[in-house]
Order: sequence, then structure tokens, then C-alpha cells
Amino acid sequence: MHPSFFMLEKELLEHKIITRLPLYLLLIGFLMLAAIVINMGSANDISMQFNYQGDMANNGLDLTPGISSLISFAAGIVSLFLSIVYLSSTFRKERQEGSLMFWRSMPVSDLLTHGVKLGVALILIPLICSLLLLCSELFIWLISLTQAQHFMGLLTELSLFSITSDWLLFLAKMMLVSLSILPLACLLLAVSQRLNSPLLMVIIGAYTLKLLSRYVFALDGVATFIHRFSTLPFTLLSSPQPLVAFAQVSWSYYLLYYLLGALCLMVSLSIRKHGELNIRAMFARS
Amino acid sequence: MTTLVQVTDLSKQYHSVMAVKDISFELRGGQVLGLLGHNGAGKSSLIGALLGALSCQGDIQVCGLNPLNQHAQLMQHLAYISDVNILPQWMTVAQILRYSSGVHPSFNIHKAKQLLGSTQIALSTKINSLSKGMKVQLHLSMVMATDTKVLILDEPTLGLDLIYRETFYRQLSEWLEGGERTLIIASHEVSEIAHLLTDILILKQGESLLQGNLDSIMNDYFIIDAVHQQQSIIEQFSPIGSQVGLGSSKWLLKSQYRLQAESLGVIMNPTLQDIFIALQKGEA
Repeated sequence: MHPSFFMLEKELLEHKIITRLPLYLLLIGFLMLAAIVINMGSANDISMQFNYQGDMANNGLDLTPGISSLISFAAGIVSLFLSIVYLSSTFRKERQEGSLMFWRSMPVSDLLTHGVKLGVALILIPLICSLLLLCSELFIWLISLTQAQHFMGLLTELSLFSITSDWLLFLAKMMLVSLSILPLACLLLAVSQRLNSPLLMVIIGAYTLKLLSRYVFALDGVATFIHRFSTLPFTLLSSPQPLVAFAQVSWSYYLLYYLLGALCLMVSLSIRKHGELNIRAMFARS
Repeated sequence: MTTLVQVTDLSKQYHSVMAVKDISFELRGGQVLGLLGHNGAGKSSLIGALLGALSCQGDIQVCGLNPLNQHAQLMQHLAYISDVNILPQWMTVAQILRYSSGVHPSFNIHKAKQLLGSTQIALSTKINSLSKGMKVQLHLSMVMATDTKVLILDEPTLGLDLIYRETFYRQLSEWLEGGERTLIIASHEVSEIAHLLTDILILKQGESLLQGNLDSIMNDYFIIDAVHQQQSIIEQFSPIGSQVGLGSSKWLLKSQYRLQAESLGVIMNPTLQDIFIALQKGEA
């Protein structure tokens, strides 16, 4: 087996929250649904009411497909949360606990290490969270099957086909979310090798840059750029048409965003290799 | 014997502090280098450079590979054990063995399990709950289960009791005899490692005070135990160091003065520790 398999396994062992949080949420969901079924006796006794203030047309949340949409959104938020938490802690943890030299003593290139960590954050975590969605919908579908009448009006559309399509759509949506946070992921990998609170520093840095560019230097473009990419993952998660939402951002913004991401990846690789930021070596051909 | 480690004009500077200055040495299979020096002498920087963890000036080749630019390939032949335990504390012994067997092509997991079988270390134990001696034993077993050519030890027995130390050095000797291998040991415990060494490099403030083959270095010096009245004569021989005793003193002198000094007192062979202490005290 390829070394990356063992490296992925090690990441899952080290960051147990990646598997435990979705599992915990799934169990909580199962218990809640089971309690509703057992305690209510008949599903027809249940009534649900949503209160919303403001313009429903612009809220971005589409609740028409019912509970599937809510579970998909929640699973997406959990995935995004886990990815960010993982990215900001993975390099910091090995530095703080002192195991950095052990991992560096293994015959694994820095590029492969970065690749595996990005793979965990941007592919594996969304995949695990997609199972949360899949299991939840399957469970609700099973409940609706065992009840004489369909379980709540919200689940009328659930079928094996819709569950499969929901799952595939979620995976596609999460791939777009992963693409939208790839440069941020590289930034977090770089920052977490030097700072103990990388996420906090990135948030503070982004807001400072946004405020300075808007109110001190009158550069609205920078503030818009930061705003676009800080809200893009949430827009993608809540949009019924994520591909359209993804395409709405200007290509020049994407170009700049991914160039910055590439620069962050080079910085992160350089810090990993030299133990410090070595700008001259970063651009030198080894 | 092929050259396994070649260091040429190595220097490392941290801002205004010169951590290592113009260090050069070469090690072949079977050689054991003692890297001696007090805290801040530059041992850790030198080791960091050999491991490819620090970028430095000069040239380093370990097994013909550059530690910085060919790090992943080099780590197939190079291992490192430190005084500060670097093993991931959250892993179990079985998990770390499985990981190593997955990413290290020359790691033999069966051999590692066999070696650990003769210890009290259970595979299901978390590394965090092992004693310091057990952690070092685990790390050494992992190194011995790997076809490593170069092993670097940084104060490996610091904080270990005598039983663990004895076991550690015995296993180390077995490992060294297992093939064309070289060992670099950095330690304060000069007397403890002296029997293993073939070569020494004594560092002080980043510079080499003394280096070379241990036997020839030992032949370069002698100790004379003479009464205090001989002090003025002995001082003409430029003693490297002296130790005042009751009624007499011991002076460490270079061998070139041996014939002239023989009549002044009792001549003795110095230990590596005598030479190390005298040099560290002498050349401030």
C-alpha cells in the first residue's frame, strides 16, 4: 500500500474529532428521531412551525425540499468547521507536542505531507460528513417506511433514488466548497507552523486588512476581495445552485486568490523544510 | 569502507550569534563520533543540519545525499534519537509500528515486535504511559528494525537509570556491528560514551576545539602528578589544564614534553574526560 494510506490513517487517529463529531451528531439525530417516533405514537400528531423575519426571497436558504436540505446544510457546516479546525491544528500540534522531529525522521517528502493534510481537510472530511447526510436520510427513509403513513409532511420526497442523488449533489457541492477554501487551507498550513493561534490570527489579519483598505487607503477592491472569499463557502452551502454561485465571482478574483494560495503553499513548504521562512531558497531550484 | 558522512566548512548563524563555525569532518562505516561540548556549544545546530532540519552554509553529504534537498531519500538511511522524547505521545506502540512499516520501506515490523518482545513494552500501551527508559528502548528498537546506515544520538541516556543505560549501550553496540554503519553521539556524559568512540569533535561556542581519531588524541596528551614546588617548571610546558590536590597537583600536558617532564612527577594516561574538561576550561 502507498505510504499516503498510512499517513491518512495516522491523521484520523491523531485528530479523532474528524470521525467522532459526525458520529456523535448522527447518534444524537438518531436518538431524537427515535424519541419522536416512540413518544408521539402517531406521526400525524406532530406539527412543525418555522418562524422567519425578513425577506424570504433573499435569505438564500431553500427549504422547499424539506428536511433533506436542512441536513445537507448542517452536514456542510460541520464539514467546513472540521476542515478549518483540522487545518489550523495539524502542524501546530506536532510542533507543540514535540513530535515534529519524529515525523520529519520518516522518509516522506514535505510535498506528500502537505498533500495528505490537504487531502484530509478538503476530501476526506467532506466525504465523512457526506456519510452523515447519507445515514441520516436512510434512517428517516426507514422510519417513513415502517410507519403506516409517511413520517411528517417534509419527507414525502424521500426515496432511495432521492437519497442517492442528494448524497451525490452534496459531494459535488462540497468539492466546490473545498475548491473555494483551498488557498485559505494553504494559508492556515503556513501560519500554523509558526503561530499558536493561526485561525484567530488569520481572522484578525483579514478584518484588519479589510478595515484598513476600506477606511484608511480607500481601496474597496481589497475589502470586496476579502468579503467575497470569506463568505463564498457559506454562499455555496446555502445556495440551491452552488455552481452558479461559484461562477458569479470574477475570474480575476479567482486568479489572484489561487496565486495567493500557491504562494502560501510555497511558504508552508519552505517553513517545513528549513524550519524557518527562507525566501531565497523558496525560489531556488534544488 | 565508504564515506557515510561528509561535512565541509559548515557554518550556521542565528542573527548575530554564530552557532557553528567552519566545521568539517568525515565518517566512514564503523566509526563512532563523539560530539562533545557544553550547552550552547553548537551540538544541536550541527545535528539539526545533519538531519536536514536547518539550512546552513557549507556542504553536508550523508550517504551521498543532501539532508535538506534530498531529505525524504536520506531518511531511509538516517535515524535520530534525542533526549527529549520525540515520539508522538498519543499513539500506541502498535500504531507507531504500523505507521513506520507503512511509510518506511526498510522498516521490518516483525523484527521490531521481536525486539520489543524481550522488553516490558506491550504493543497496546500508549507511548504517553511509558517510562522515559521504555520510550528510549522503543525508539532504539525501531531504529534497530530499520536498515539505517547513520544513527545520530543527542543525549540519549539523559534521565535514564543505570540498568536502562547499560541495556541501551549494549543494544547500540550490537546495532553497530550489524553492518557498515556509523554513529554520532552528542553527550555531556563523556566518561559514559568514551568506550564506544573512535573519533571525537569537541565544540566550544560553535568552533572546533579538538577533533580527530580518539586513539591518536589520547596519545597526544599525558598527565603529570607532581608536587606544588614543580609548578614553575611545569608551567614552562604550557599545560592545557591543571587540578590542584593535597600536596600535589595534576597537569595535563602535550606529549612532546613527556621526556622532559618524566623526572618531575608521576606520569599517567589521561581519560577523555580529563582532556575535555581541560580544554573547555582552558581556551575561553
